[in-house]
Amino acid sequence: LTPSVTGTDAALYAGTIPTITLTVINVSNTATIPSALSVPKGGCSTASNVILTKLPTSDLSISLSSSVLQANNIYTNLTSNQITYGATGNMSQSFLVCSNASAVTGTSVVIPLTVSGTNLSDYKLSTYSLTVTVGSAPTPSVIVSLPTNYSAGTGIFNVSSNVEGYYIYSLRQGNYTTDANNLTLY
Amino acid sequence: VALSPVSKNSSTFVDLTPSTTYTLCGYYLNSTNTTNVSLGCQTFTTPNDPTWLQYEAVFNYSSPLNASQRNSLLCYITTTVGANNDYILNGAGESCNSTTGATAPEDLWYNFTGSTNSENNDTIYLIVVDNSSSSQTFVQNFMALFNSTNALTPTNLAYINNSVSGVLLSGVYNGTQTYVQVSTGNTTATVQSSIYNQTGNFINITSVSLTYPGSIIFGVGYVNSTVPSQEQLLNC
Repeated sequence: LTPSVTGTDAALYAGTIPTITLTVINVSNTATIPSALSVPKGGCSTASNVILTKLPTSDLSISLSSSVLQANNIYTNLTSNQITYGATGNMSQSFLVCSNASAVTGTSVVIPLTVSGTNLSDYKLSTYSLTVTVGSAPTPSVIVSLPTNYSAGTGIFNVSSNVEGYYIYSLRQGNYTTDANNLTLY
Repeated sequence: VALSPVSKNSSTFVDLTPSTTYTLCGYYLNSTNTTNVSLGCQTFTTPNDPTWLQYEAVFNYSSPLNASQRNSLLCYITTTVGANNDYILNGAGESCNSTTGATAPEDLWYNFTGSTNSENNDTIYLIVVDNSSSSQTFVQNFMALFNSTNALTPTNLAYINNSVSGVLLSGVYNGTQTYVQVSTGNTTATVQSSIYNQTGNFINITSVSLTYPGSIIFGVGYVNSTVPSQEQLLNC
């Protein structure tokens, strides 16, 4: 490589080239990742898959940028926002991308993806960024599951929801069809 | 309960009683408190639990105990048994008030703010909700208050008498009952017609009797008042 210096004062400057190390890698293996997802405000995307053409001989991780996620009130159901593969296991792993209720509807966020691990050099990604678009909040769907067993008068009620928020409840002894404790909002 | 679409959300209810129907009603409220959705109500019945037991002892006095004396008796038994305050109760559902300088028992199971009448006898209950080692210890300690003929041991009689100004005549262990027996047992309550004293502006109820230990809660309303429910009376 020959440095090129141009301009009126070009004769006054000497160009230098920094040392560049090029590594040629075998990228015959691919991790296919969706390039774009839609996330409802306060809810989660449908499950998306990351599919490898081949399991790594040792380990491989694909990370979503935590700082970008956090800055845009977006999160995942992954530990450390990382999909991890080992020498054994399933070549397809699913994940969810979710947004906090404070995320701004209509926002599109480009989340960088990076590869790490012992077998880093053996893989290329189908895309190196994931564009997440925040849609409108979904209709709340909250399901309360009654306990199947009780221990010394203690029962655990599971509550699932498709959206962030709060479950405000009253528990009364007896059989009622309506709630006398109306919730008033101001 | 704070809801998250990706994690398990749960709520734990304690002190549920066996074979009892409850109603759970709820709302969804969004994070910014701007939207709420009623989720309606669902009822459920807890299963029968034979390890839930009510141990009973009947105490007789030469004169009715005042509030301070009732508290002293409850606290002595609670301390001796080692159970939590809310698992030792008298017939009016009162528990030991262990606050320093307390002059009356506490109502730990309801919020009735009226006055409690005392008679020359009362029943003290120990409630255990399971067969755990701690529950077994409570039972063992409760039973140790009484001798082989089910009467209070002289030592315990003397200790309790010391805290109730010497009016305790006797205390007798009266066996156990399961929750189903307690909640469905038949009792006959007799209340003679109340007499309204126009001069003193008070209502006098002279004779109340029950065929089984328990309590009757009275409430007073205007002529056209809606008849209050048990829940309303206990928590008014």
